[in-house]
Amino acid sequence: MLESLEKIKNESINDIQSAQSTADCDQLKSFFLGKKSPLAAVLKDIPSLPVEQRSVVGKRANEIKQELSAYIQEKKQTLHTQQLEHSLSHDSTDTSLPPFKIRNGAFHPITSITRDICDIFSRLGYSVKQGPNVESDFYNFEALNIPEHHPARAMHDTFYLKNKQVLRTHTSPVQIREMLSKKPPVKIIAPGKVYRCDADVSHSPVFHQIEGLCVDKGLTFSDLKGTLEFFLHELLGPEKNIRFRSSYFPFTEPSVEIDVEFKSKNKSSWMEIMGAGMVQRKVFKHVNYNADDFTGFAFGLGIERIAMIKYQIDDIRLFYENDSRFIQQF
Amino acid sequence: MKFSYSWLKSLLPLTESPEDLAEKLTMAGLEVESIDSIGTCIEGITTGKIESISPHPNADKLVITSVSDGKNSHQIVTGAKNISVGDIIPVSLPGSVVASGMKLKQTALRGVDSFGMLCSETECGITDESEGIWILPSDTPLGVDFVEYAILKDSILDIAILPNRGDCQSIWGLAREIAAITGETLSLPKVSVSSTDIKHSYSVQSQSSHCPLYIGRYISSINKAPTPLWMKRRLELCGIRPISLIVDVTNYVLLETGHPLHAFDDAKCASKSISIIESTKKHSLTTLDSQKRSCQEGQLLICEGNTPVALAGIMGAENTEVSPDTSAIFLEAAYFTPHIIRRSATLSGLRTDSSSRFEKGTNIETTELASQRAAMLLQELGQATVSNHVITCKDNTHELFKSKSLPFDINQLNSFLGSNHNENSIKTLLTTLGFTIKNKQISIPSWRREDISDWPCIAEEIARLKGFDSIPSTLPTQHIIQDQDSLELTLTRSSEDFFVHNGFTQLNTYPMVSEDDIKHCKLSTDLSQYGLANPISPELAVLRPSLLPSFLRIISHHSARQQHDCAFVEVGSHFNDNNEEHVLAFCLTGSPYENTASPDQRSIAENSPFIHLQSLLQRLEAQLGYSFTLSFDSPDSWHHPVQFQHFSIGNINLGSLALVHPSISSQFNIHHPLAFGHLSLTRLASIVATPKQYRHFSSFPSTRRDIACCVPKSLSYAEILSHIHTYKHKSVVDIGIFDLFESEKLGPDNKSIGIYLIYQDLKQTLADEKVNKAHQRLCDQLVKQLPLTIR
Repeated sequence: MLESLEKIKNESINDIQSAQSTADCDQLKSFFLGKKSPLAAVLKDIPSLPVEQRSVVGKRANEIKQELSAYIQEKKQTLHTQQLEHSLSHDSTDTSLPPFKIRNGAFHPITSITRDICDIFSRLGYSVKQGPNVESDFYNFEALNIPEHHPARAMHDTFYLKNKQVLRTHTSPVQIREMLSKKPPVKIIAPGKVYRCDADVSHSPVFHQIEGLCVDKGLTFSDLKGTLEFFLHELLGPEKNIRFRSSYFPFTEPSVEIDVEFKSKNKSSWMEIMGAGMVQRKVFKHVNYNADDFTGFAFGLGIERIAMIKYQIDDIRLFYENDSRFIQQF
Repeated sequence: MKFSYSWLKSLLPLTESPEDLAEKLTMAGLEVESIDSIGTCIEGITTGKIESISPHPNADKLVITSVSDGKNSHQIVTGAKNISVGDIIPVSLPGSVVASGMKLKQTALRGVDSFGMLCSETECGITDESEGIWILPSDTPLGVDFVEYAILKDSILDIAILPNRGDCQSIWGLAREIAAITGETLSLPKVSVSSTDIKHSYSVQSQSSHCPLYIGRYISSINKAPTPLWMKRRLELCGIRPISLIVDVTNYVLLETGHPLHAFDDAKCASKSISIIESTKKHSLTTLDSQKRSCQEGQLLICEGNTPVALAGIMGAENTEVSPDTSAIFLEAAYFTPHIIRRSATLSGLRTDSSSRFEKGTNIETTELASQRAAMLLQELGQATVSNHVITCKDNTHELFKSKSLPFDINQLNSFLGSNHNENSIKTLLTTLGFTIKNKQISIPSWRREDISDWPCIAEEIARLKGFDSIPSTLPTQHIIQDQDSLELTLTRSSEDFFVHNGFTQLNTYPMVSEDDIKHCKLSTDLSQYGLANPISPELAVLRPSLLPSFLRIISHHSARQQHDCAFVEVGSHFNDNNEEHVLAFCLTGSPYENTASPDQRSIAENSPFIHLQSLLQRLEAQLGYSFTLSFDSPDSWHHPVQFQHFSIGNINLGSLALVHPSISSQFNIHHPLAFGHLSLTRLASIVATPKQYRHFSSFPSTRRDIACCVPKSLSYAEILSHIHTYKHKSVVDIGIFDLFESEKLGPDNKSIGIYLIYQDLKQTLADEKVNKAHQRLCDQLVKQLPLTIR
């Protein structure tokens, strides 16, 4: 009896092995393990066996039933996986087609540079302020120690509105607005558009500046130097050489211009990057700060110039032509 | 301003090369913009006298000359036409090099040996083109080193003089500055005039406070001598054309001292009564450049009798111009205040060597010295007689005549700079610059009185001359807590980010537009307020009332270049009713989607840019934490009559979004549907966003019910929705649309809308019957209130 059981097992396994589909497996399951299967027949005959054989045969028959059942299940799983893989691999999607895609947006390079600069100063604890484009003579000139007949007015080719107001020629009026609105200490930067009525290949009537102002007790010129060296090294690279050169602005004293050395293959040249200085005591008087108690430094730089250096742009007019093929590059 | 290196070198020993000197000047605030090297190749040119001229045996156009250099005679063949025996000329002998770089060799011309070359001005490097040989004055010594004699080799430093450094607008002033920088000793020419008791009838009267000092000298019997070569050359090197001795001397003194002088021809002055007046519109004069000029109010004039004879400080008039025959002059040396000259020069549109010096300020206390120096030179070079009756018209009370001093505290200066300079070295430095320090007081030299106004100016002098390198670099040690960035700035950044991340390109446009473009956009502005008084072009003449014209220009630029997809954003300023606002502007024409094999998304956006922008704006609004009220009434002038919406919060209008009316966009050659929106961030920032707050959500299942209905086309979704909101059951948590179509079956005036509602309760699973009942009640209400049939 046991032999016939083993025979059933082996024959069944052979058949299961040759199954081609999960449907085959289901069929084989009922064929080998169903009520009319040879195994069922053996189990049915057990009561007719001698008592000592009954348990042996019965136990073995059950074992085989378990084994076959597991075997079929396993075969079915294998076949299922194969079928899934087969059907998936016949997917006709062309994955090389361009996807459904929104275009890449882009920030104007002026925005990118402005944000870079603001981020560096925010690490030093400066907050960002804005001021109006249309200014009164007081904020743009008078309070900055540029009275009406001051020679420095010749440095500013000013646009006037018909109502006698000016389009600000620099972002420095924001200094005045800030100081008039709050007590020292002050630590601000102010990015924005400025206007000069000289347009040629290298000048645009509208361009962008960032102004910075730090006022507190005991600030020194060496603080100005350290701050701007930190800033320029962060912006342009720690290896850059920086020099401070004497200059003149009516609202700072001493005044400097700051040059950065740029090296190309076999020559190096100094490029003027920004202006700075210690706040003129007359400016403090205009904003009712006590010039004997407080000192401060201010600085300003042209954003276009930085963008032109960083991105190697050779024509300032590209910024305002606003061709998307230009802006998309940044 | 141009400065001759060799001239400077004659005033103080310079060991620096022109390049090194330029570097030092630049660092000290006298920025050298360029160095022009003159006669770099020239070598060995000398002077000679033509002893004889004989014909060339083999050539008609050549002659054979014999030239003596004082020691030897040289046979030189030349083709020159303008020479005659006895002329003194520059000559270049074998071994010397002329301006072109050619080295002279002994040569034979048509069979006759020639030992050198007679030189023209071109060969000497002083002009680009010249005719004939340079005939030198008859008193020129023979055999001199002509390169040095005629200053053929030099470096011209072009220096940008800062507005506060009027004192450096002269060779003497610059030399003083160089002495302080290099530590060398300055030696200026001694000025002394021997004057004679000669009477004249001149009188001077200043009627303007803008002329606190006027010095007049009468100088007569001036010989008609030519200007010496060295003076001519120095004038030329500094960019001034030599004219005649009298004019050249005044110009030379201008270069030396920085004081503009003017010589009036005595013979042309009838009344000898000189007055300085502020002009009225009646006055006019013809200046030396032959321009007839009508005077403007407030220009300063010099009059002789009642006739204007000079635009003070700028240019003289033809009526009293000195000529080659002039033998007597009235020499003016005066101080005019900087701003009157700046104003006058601006009004007449005329800037001269003279006006540019007065504008930055001349040294009032050396005006007399300049007058003496000119008299001395005329005496030396033209054997002139100088009258000792000098007229000085002076306002002694003027601010500039007062001496000025400031406290001097080296500790204060050092702690301001953060430096550690030694007191003695600072004192030496300042003394070289003309300051005197005594008892903790520093007195300011007259030529710096306008510039040096407070002690930080002294700190600047120290810093710039000791070098900024000598100051350490530190960071402020105090910790300053600063304000948070303004809400407007945060909104600006967030909305820029949002649009760029959704495929938009950020623009940066000029806030000025043309008047025409404003009209084309059917916008209006108050030109008396926002028109520019001095625009550089009609395209940039008005501050814009909206970003629309700027955007239309940029889109037009793109469509002319076959770039039809324009998804642009900018936060910029617009100007209305005395108010400048920051506005978020955005536009869409074409599609923000790239081309794909299935063009659905692309074409949806392309055909309905308005709807596309609507969806973006709604997402932005949610992200910023606001909820706008939309209104669909009364389109703006640039709006499409139907596709537009206004948005507001409370009673604050924030902006609008619309399809640009095709009659407007077509004026800019834009022929595709274009949607444009603007949102005032300035106004939005005045409203506090709804703060975020947790709301409990239900853990019980939800159930959906639909309303499919047929309505007239004129009934808007918004209206249906507002009715649903009125009559809905409280357990409705979401409402949306899932279907919209028109068909023949519905008829031409109707549309079908499918709306879903999600019912959900916070505390229990809703029973179907309850939902059905609530939903039915809603449907009944809708049918009752609206022209609506449930399908």
